[in-house]
Order: sequence, then structure tokens, then C-alpha cells
Amino acid sequence: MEKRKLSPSEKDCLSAIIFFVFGILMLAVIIPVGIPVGFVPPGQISPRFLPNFLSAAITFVAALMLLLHFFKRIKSKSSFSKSSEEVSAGESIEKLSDKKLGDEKKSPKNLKLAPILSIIIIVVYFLLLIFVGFIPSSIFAMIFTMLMFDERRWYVIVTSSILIPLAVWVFATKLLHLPMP
Amino acid sequence: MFTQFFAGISLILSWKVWAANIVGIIIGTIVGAIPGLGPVIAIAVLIPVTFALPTVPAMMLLLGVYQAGIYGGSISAVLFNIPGVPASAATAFDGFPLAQKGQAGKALKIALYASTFGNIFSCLVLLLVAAPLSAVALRFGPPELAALLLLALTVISAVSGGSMLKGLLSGLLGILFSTVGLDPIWGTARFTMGFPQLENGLALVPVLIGLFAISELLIQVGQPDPTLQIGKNNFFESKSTRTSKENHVSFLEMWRMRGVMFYSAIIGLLFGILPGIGSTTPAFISYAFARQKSKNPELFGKGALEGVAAPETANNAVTGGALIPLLSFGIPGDAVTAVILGALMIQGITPGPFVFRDNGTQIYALLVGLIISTIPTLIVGRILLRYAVKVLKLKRSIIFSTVLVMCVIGAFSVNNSVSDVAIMCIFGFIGYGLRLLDFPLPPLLIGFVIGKGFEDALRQSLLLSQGSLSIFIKSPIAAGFVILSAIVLIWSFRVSFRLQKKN
Repeated sequence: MEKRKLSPSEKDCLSAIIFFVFGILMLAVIIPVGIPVGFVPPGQISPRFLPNFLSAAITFVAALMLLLHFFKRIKSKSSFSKSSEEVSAGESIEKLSDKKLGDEKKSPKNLKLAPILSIIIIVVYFLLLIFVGFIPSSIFAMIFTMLMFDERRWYVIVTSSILIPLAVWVFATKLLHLPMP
Repeated sequence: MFTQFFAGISLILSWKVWAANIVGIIIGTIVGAIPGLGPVIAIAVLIPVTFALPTVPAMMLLLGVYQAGIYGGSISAVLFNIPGVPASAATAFDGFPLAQKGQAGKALKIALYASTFGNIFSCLVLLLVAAPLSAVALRFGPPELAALLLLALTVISAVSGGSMLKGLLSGLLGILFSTVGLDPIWGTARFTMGFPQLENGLALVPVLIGLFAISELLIQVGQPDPTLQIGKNNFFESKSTRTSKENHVSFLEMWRMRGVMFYSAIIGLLFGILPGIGSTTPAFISYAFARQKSKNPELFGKGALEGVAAPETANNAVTGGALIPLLSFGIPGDAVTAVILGALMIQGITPGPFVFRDNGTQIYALLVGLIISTIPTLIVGRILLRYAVKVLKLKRSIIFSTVLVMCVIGAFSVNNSVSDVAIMCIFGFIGYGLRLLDFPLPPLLIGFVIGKGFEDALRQSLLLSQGSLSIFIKSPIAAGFVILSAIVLIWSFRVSFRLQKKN
């Protein structure tokens, strides 16, 4: 089954929920744990002042976004007399036109998986950087990133993933005198 | 002032300055032409290169990328209807129809000349305005500075495009990230989680590389290659580069467009000064304005020359405009100037009220250099026309995998620390998530950049008034800024409500 894309309104709702929860978590857990109060003379501002203010503002704006979203939904439900048949017909036309435009070809399954796999590649690249150093880890990252971008010519993958990290290493260490990991 | 000005001119009389600038222009033109990349990513990745250079050549390299980057975007917009940078989207409206008529060379030359005009105009204004404004800002105390930064943050969040509430959330999140590290008054560690590397706060370069470059990589990997259609439109290449009568641009043709270019430059400059808007909006506004004022509006969209000149002048005039608040107040006008701010700070120059007093010679060198660098931009731009098309055919797989490796070096080299690479990765994932949910990233970056200064000024003001907020009302300047911030905030909420109602 192909996953449906989120509509702008659904994105707004999801964003509002994420930021609302984040704001509450900041106020209730992260700030009390992450910032020790220590000694603050009377009448002076605590180190928690700005983070608390910002987190409260984030919570407030997110709540406002959420309210606006629900207000919009209620209004559209009451005023918009669109029959379910019409909706489904509209949706099917939309799907049909999408198919006509050839969107299926543009977004194959691997395009949806690619960002997640790329995140994994970046994390592994970082870990390898610590343990094996710049050149081997960069060769690894380049090979898999190229594969993610649908590069299938092995000679391109091999030559670029070896030559580019080496060239970058020489440029950084010999010309710019930068220390490398 | 004049001593610093002439000393500045003597600083740019070096081959190193112009060699660095030309390299920057070449990189900027090429990177601007490649969809997905852009001046922000290029400058961020080039920051380590500047460590090995003296201040003026280093900054001329980055400013060359900035100046040429937006013009580079017009190459792919005109030839393939794929804007290299969002600011060039309006250029494609008439540039691409011109290319279809076999006048791609003409469209690109007009784009180049209009870009050069926009750059010169805005940089001249920058040269004239930045120092006097900076002198005014020197009179500001902590309450005025805090109120000014509050106004900047409010404007950035309100006008950054998309949902205003999302812009506001993005800006607030940026300031929140700037609070990581030691508290500026009491020295208490905040959100450091026991890591001493975080005590100095999050470094700017890894944060911005993550937000813009890594998130772009993740976005691009999930999208089909936009340059695939280049193969289909290949016939433009020969027509764009060949020297024929129909691709020639006469002085008279440019002179006829002087009015269009002049008010487009003013639009670009004014929008550039306003923080957070960037160069896309003024390009569209100047296009619409040019169409409205034109005697032949029906030609727009079908290959009108003014339709190319107007957006290209405006989006390049943003360059000088955005540097005005950066140099005078330390407030970056857009994401690129935020990166330039970071680069200047690495070079030991802190933009803001004291910049002309402390580093006047170098700043004047850069301002004069920016104006003169329009000449190499013009020459290099013309030479690069045919080669930029070839670069466009480079596979995304090679471009983005190289960008990833360069990003790691960029993040690592700031403090020679692997923890900065981790910060870059984390911010890359945050940026990707935010972009998926349609959040604008510039408010986050600008909030992060000016957040520390805002907190310092705010805390100092409250220390002076022993915790009383009345200090912001007692000073008329600060009160004016606070009232303006409130107006912007109320206006943005009203617009948000109206939009929701309309929908």
C-alpha cells in the first residue's frame, strides 16, 4: 500500500501537537533537569528565565495553532455541504490526474525509503569517523550515498568514492593545514 | 572614516584578494546553477578554506559566492525551467520562453547585466548607509539593543514565508537553541548534559551546515532528479552559447529597461534590509511590478526582456540590502548573511555597532571590493555560461555524496572536534523534520545567531533595572521598538486568522 501524503492542514496539526508536547516537556522536565538554579540573589534573573519564557511561548503558539486547526475543521464541517460521494469522486479524479501526470514513476518506493536509509548512513558515517578515521569512513559514506541516489555504475562508484575523499584529505591537510579526524 | 576608507582600498590592491574573489565567483555561479545547492550550502562548506587565508581574501571568496550564486540560479532557470535557487524562479517565467525561441543567450546576458546592476546599486547604498547607521547604533544601550533584536526576531518570524505561526515557532526554537551553554551572567551550565564541549554553546557552522546542507541531502535523496529533463531540452545548449544576432544584447536594449531595473533594484534593496524575507519575494514582486508598468504586459510570460531583467535585478540587489542590518546592527537579513556573520566572527570581526570602530579598514576593503567585484562577476559570468550547463549534467549522486564529505570537514574543522560533527548530524535531522512539516528554516538560524546577543542585552537591561521591565518603556527608542514588535506580532496573528478564515 502506498502511503498518503500529509495535507498542509494535517501538517499544521501535527506540527502544533509536536511543538505543544515539546514545550510542555521543556517546562516540566528538560529545564528543571537541564538547568541547575544555584544561587541567584533576590531581584536577579535566574538562568532558567529565558528558556522558561521561550518554552512557554512555544507552548502558547502551538496551542493557538491547534485551536485554529480545530476551529477551521469545525467550520468546514458545518458550512461545507459536500456529499461523501462528491468527496470520493473528487478524490478519485485527483488520483486519476495524479496517475496521468506519471507521479507513480516519480515517487517509487525506494524514494520514500531513501531518506531513512540516508539517515542511517549518516549515523554510521559519524561512528566510523570516530573509530576508523576520515578516509575509510568517507569511502563508506560516498559508496552508500551514491547508491541512495540511484547510481548503479560500479566504476563511477568505485573511482569517485576513493578519489574524492583522498583529494579532499590532501586539500585539507596539505594545502589548508587542517587536522583531520 | 576617510583614513579607514583609503586604508581599506590599499588592502584590496592584492592579487590574492582577486584570485580568491574569482574562485568564489566561479564556485558561486556553478553551485547556484545546480538545483538543490545554493550560496548557503556553498559558503558553509567553504568556511574551512577561509582558515588558511587572511581576512580580506577569505571574505572576498565567500562574498564572491554570495554575489554570483543568485545569478547562477538563473542559468538553469532560463535553460531548463529549473531554478537553481528559489530566487530565480521568477526569472524562468520569461527566461525559459526566450530559450524556447532560441534566445537563451540573450536571456542569460540580460540576467547577467541586470544582476550586475542590482549588485552595484545595492552595494553603493550599503557603502553609504552602513557606517552612519552603525554610528547611530553605537548610542544604543542594552535596553535599546534588546528591543531592536526583539523587533528583528518578530519581523523575521512574521515575514519569512509560509505560515506566520510556523515562522514564529521556528524563530523561538532558534533562540532556545542559543541558550545551550554557560549562562551569560551566573555561568550556570544549561542543557549541557555533562558534556564540556557544549559549555561554549552550539557552534554556528555545524548547526547551519546541518540545517541547510544535510537536510537538503535528505530532501533530495527522496525526490526524483529534476535535471533528468535536461537531456530532453539539450538543444538549448548550443543555442544559448552560440554567438548570433538574435542572442546579442545591445546597449540600447538595456538602456530601455533602465526604469524597470532601477525600481527593481530599490525593491530588492528594501526587502533585503528587512530581516528574514530573503531574495525570492522581491524577485516576484518586481516581476509583477514590471508587468503592471509595462506598455506590453501581454508579452510577459512569453519572453519579455523586462521579465528577465526585473527579477534578476531585484534578487541581486538583496545582497547589499541584507548586509546593511548585518554590518550596522549585527542582525543577518537572511540565511546567507547569517552564514557570512559566522565566517566574519571566525575571522575575528563581530558585525554590529562597533564593527566600523574596531575593524573599519577591513570592512571598507570588503565594501569597496564588493562593488569592484561586479567586473570579474560580469567577465567570469559570460565565460562560464557554456561550462555551467555542462556542470548541470553532473550526476546528483556525485554532487551530494561529495557535499556530505565536505560537510563533515566543515563541521569538524571549526573546533577540530568530532562532537561538532555530531551536532551537525543532529541539526540535519531536525532541519529535515522541520522541512517535511513546511517550517521555514531561516527564522530558526537567524534566531539562533542573534539569540545570544538578545539574551545578553535583555539580562543586562534587567540587571540595570533590578528586574523591572519598565526599563524598556523609559527609553523612547526601546519603547518604539517594543511597540513596533507588538504591532508586527498582532498583524501577523491577524493575517494568520484571516487566512484560516479564508481557507
